[in-house]
Amino acid sequence: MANKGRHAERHSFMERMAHLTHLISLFILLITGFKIYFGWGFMTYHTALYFHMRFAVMFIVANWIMIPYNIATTELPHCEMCKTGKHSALKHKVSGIFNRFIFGPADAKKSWQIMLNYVGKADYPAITVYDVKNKGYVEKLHPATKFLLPIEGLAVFLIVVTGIVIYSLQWSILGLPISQWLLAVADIIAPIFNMGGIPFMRTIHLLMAYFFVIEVIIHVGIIEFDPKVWKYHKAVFLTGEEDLNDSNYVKLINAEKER
Amino acid sequence: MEKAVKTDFFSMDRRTFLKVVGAIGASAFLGLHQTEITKALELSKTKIIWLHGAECTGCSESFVDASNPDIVQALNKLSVEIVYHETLLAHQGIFVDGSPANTSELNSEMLLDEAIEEGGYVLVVEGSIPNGPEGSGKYLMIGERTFKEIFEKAAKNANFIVAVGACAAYGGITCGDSDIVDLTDFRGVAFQKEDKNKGMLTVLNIDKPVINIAGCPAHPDWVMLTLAAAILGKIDVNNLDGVVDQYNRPLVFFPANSTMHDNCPRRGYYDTGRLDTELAGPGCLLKVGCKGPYTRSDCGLRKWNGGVSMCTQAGSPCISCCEPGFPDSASPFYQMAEDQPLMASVSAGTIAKVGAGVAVLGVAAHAARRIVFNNEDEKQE
Repeated sequence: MANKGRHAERHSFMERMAHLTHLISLFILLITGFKIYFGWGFMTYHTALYFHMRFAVMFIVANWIMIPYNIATTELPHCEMCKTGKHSALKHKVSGIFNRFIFGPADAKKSWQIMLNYVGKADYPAITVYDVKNKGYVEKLHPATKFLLPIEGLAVFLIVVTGIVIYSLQWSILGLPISQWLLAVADIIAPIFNMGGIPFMRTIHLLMAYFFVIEVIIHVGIIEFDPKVWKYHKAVFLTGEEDLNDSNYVKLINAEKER
Repeated sequence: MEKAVKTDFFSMDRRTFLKVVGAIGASAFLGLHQTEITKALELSKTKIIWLHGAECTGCSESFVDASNPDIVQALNKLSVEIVYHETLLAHQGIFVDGSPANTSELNSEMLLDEAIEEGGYVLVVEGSIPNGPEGSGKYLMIGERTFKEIFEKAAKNANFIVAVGACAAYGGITCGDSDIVDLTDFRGVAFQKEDKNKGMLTVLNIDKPVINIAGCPAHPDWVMLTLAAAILGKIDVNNLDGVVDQYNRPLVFFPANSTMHDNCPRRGYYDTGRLDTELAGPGCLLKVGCKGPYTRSDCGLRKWNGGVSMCTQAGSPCISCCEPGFPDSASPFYQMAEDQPLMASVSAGTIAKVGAGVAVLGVAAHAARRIVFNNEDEKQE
């Protein structure tokens, strides 16, 4: 974990790549997908489908390969007890990852503080928490992002599996009839909604596309309307670094020890 | 010469038979092999009992309107003996004091009973079978008997059963959502809608091979070819793996790997994004409720009325009559499936609009607050 003066690397190179890949593929998928659904005339169906399918692969790579890799290899603050074997390094890593990416009580507290901030009753909480002594982030994500992450994971899963069926009713891999299995499951659930399996899959695919539109509104909206938006852009697309002096955004812990 | 032998109707194996039928269509196949099929059927001397349950006789009408071979050829030339068919029979039941009277020559009720007793026939069922009220089946009485009772008797002695049309196959319109649907309790032969555990055969604890010819009505080619293939042993009714799908529909007519939409005559308009928003236009009918993309049938290739036209070609959206959930799963007919209410009258589009609206408001509030704080910070500095 590089700490150049009062800057620290908040987003690693691979995290920035995953974010960029996800961003590009999602935008292309939403545009081409809605073109196919609404029949927009700016490109032909076949062109839209051509791009949709290729960027779907990119989207899967970002979400099912790059992001899991980043989560598994995310850097945590140094821990003396792990080094000396006083407790399990693996257990420590897993709990660190869990705290970093899963919405917990501390995030609920932060969310409440953000709400109070709206009505002028509290300061806006620092989004990240940096351990100065052990040189590492304890918290990296906004509570809203953490809240959305598992939902987004589910949405990615649903949009991919429904997309497989829409792409081909007979899609299989290594002789496994994936589409048929998925349709068999859909045929069990769909009658609850008075639907057949295929329209059910298409409706779920559309619903998940809408979810991503809403998620983009929330995620981008919160950031883009922030007065210090350039800092975020620079961090997430270019340098990956965060200014540790900005107390509005980062809370430093164990700072006394460093001095 | 080799090829000529392989494409000969009699030497064709099951796989080739199904491939050829799928590739050239039943009408063309029947046209090409009409003489051979006629001869073969003459040799077979198979009897057919065609029962009518709760139905509109549309499937019989569709069958009667068949061409190449037409129904007259089928009845006059083919020695498949249609022993019993209520719509086509010239005579009906005669009852004296509540009991069938006379002989089977004049009394079709007795004719039916005798034919059933003899056994060795193919049972064709058109229309659903009412199980209500309370399992009695009394919502459909023919003569002095419930249709459920007649069906039970006929099904037990049949070699195999062909359920013709949406009603016989899955319940169809008679199973459509209504206030009395539980009371009437209509069943398909082997299914009730998508549920294969609720067919009438399950209720009666009868185990017989069933082929479902879906559709409202069923296409005459589908009926004719299925009967011909089964009777001539081109398909083994006791081993239908790979021949029918999970809803017992012949894959050759209801392909698992494509939908009606793939071969729709209006498909070109979909590809170029010309989607009609009102009926009577020339474009793709998706936005006015066409269920072609959700319907597994070969209507787009085979077409109807002697291969001349079909629903979408005539300007009507596909209503997905070949799917087991029909008509509920396709209703409303003139509304896109994705626009239909999912729960509590709320559709995916409405959920999206509300969600996006709330998100925009939340973001705007967040942004406003952050900008205000930023200005206050600057003032303090």
